[in-house]
Amino acid sequence: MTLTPPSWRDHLLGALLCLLTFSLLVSTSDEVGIPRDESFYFYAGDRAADWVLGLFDGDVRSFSRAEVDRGFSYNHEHPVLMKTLFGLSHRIFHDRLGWVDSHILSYRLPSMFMAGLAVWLTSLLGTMLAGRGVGLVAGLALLFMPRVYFHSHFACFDGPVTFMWLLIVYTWLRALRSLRWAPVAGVALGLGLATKLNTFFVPFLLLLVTLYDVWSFKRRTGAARAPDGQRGPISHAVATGSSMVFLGTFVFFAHWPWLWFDTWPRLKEYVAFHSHHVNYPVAYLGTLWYDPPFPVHYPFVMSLTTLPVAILLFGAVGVALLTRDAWRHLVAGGRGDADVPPVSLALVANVAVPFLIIAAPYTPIFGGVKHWMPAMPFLAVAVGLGVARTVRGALSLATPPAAWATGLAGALLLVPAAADTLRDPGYGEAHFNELVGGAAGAAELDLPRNFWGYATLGALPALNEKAEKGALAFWHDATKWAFDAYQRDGLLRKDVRYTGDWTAAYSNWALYHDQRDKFWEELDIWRAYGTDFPVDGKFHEGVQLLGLYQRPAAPSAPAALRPKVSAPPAPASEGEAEQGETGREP
Amino acid sequence: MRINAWILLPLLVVVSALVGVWQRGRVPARADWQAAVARVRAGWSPGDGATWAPYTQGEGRTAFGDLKMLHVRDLGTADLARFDRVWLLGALGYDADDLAPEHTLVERHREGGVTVDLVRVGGPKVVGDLYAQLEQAIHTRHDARGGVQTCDFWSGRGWHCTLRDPPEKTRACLGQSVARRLEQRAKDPECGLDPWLHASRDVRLIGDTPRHCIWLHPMAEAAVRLTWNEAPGGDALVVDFGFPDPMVADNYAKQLRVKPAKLRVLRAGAELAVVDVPATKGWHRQSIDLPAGAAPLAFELTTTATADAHFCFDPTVRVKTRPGSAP
Repeated sequence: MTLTPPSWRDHLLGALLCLLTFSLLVSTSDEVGIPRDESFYFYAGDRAADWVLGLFDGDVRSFSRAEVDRGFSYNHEHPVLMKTLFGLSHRIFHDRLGWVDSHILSYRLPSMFMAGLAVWLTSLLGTMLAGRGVGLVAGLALLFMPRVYFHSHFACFDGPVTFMWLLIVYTWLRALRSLRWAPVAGVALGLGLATKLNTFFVPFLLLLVTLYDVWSFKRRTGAARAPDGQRGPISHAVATGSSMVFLGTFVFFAHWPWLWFDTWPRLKEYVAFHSHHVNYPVAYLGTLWYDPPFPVHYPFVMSLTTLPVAILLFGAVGVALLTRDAWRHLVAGGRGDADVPPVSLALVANVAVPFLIIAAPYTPIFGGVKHWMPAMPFLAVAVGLGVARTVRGALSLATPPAAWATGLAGALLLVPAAADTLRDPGYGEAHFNELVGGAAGAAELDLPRNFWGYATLGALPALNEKAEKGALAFWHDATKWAFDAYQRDGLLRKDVRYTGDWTAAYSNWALYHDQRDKFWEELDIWRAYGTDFPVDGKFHEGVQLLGLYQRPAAPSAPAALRPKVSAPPAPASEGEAEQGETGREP
Repeated sequence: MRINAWILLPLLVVVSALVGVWQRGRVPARADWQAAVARVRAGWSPGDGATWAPYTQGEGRTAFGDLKMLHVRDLGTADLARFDRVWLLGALGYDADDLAPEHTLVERHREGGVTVDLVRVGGPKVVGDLYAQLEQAIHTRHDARGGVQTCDFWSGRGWHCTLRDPPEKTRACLGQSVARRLEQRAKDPECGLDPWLHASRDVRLIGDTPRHCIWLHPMAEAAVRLTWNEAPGGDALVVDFGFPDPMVADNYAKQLRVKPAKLRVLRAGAELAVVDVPATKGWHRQSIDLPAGAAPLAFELTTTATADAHFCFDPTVRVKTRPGSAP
């Protein structure tokens, strides 16, 4: 398979899909709560944006270390491209221009836009590979992956890095036989590194494919280098590789002022944070995993159980087609006269590698499907190919079907995926497909459905309606910054109060974010409140994502069970000790 | 006729979509659970208990309120001995047929997606329950020199030994409003009570399931004892026990600090049995045959290492056959 350069019509299709994606994400943003990390990035984003805007406003008088640290020292375990964009979007679209009413939405716009761009580029890649019908289906397939759609809302890095990974690969593919694209690939890598560390792996992956390309060229022509006056893979690879090394590195360092001082120690600190990353406990098939080695099959099983069935089926067909093409390239393609770059191999490798990184047993346990999301655009392209092949097979066509036929069939076949994605978009992390019986079946299998406090939003209507004035509420996994953001956006009554971490015993209302590793924290609420049962909450297909507890009125002790020593007044709070994060004794 | 295999793929998509609709349609709505609970309340008698299945169908919990509900993950091994009858609210295909065969289905109703089964409980019956009678127990500490300290301050949930302030002041502190307790949390979170060393009604995650049990934390310098003077006569003393999961298995901490403990069981002052408490995950059970007649029972806990030794247990006296049932 080869790539055909796109026309303006191909871009128009991509742009329309991008607009559709962005519009849908904006329209469902108010159904998506704030996870812990997003609340941190709100804060970090404002600080970074204030530094940037200060350059124009005159508030930041210099690039001094003090000023840079003020803007960027918080949350320096991640680069600042996206955080700066989150903050700028908030400061400009909400604070200055007033175009966006919601603070939360204004932070999220850059991520949503990048999700749109990812769909655009995915569609383009599909179109360049096999026509506009495949491009349309590829774009829709990426859009209608419930968990990808869910994560695409957040002012976090997982959606943007999915786009960046794709952008790097796309520009590298274009640069395989074009020097014009070499500097673009370098800048793309730099932007990727400025987004999240995941992209660090991409150049190594592409280097392997490049080596194969050079080897294939040598096998075909008898020499690694092209004849004088011509350019072979080595020429392009050197140009692209140099661009990635120099331009990529330059963009990465240039974008992050925090690295301009104490560069080496700070860089080491950044790398060390990720190479020694804390393991997030994950419940998986009956076991609570705290430490590596983590089951190798985790990302594969989680994808098999969370991706829509249509995407699994046609994705499998597409990956098989790409693999067969890559194999043919290996066996025969290199011996022909035509210079065919190893596009199929590159695409298959990019479907596989994000999975394999997480599947490696000693990779820190991250747990979320979001961590191998960069594979999904390439899987979506495979879906497009799979649909086209299926249409061709089903209609017994001798040649690939017309674009409209592939597009129409794909759009129809992805209707269930679209319904899954948009049915309860704020809780996409709890989505499981029919292969495990949906969310209810997945709960029986002890598969993870929740993370880090995003479900808070589901309790706010009940809390707003039922809580007494000035109610003291314990928010469990939701941060104070998330709490503030809900109040600031008018989603939570202003008089409701935040009691702090580990304060179930000192509250009258309590939220519990259902995660198996935190189950014992729900019992802290039971102990403090004297009841095992929530009064409300957020449930997905009957399964608890969030429990909302209300402290019952204290009952008087039954006469038959009066203690020998006179009882104290009915306690309004039977405060069990605060037992630290793990409930361990000091 | 030759079937075009490519047509199977779109067919599979359609079938899976229909399966998904069916799967979601089976999940009970909250109103179904509310109707089921209303039915249970209407038929409730003293000696009844209730539970639901599958355990993961949490939405029903919003309707349970103050019903006496059991936490049961596996219906086949559920311990229903505390009750005469049990209401089982089942969904997604779970119902009383999944219970052990010693229990008898009395009646069955349906409320939307919820099956409401009333079951007459068979097998052994609990006739004495220390968890329920903790107010009547005596909590003491026994040091190696023979010294005995009686822990006679009742906090509302359990017995405490050491108070920072006089009892009346401690009670007043405990009885303050939640807002006031929150205000003073930083400097006086427990009103002067020891947060660890006491004997109290508790609920802990043990063996992946919440257990209502009696918290009894061992000490280095003394054996801690709980004496049950009003223990009734019965065929067996059943002691369920364990350490909470986060202390022995499911924890961020790489090094777990809990060590095995020993629980001596005394009857009328004489040693009846010694129960070894392993520092492993699980809700363990030991059944001890009782001599005829009622006599005080006491439970004395010791260990070589007290860090994180969050021992929790649930002793009950049981008879093998229920009144009115065949021997």
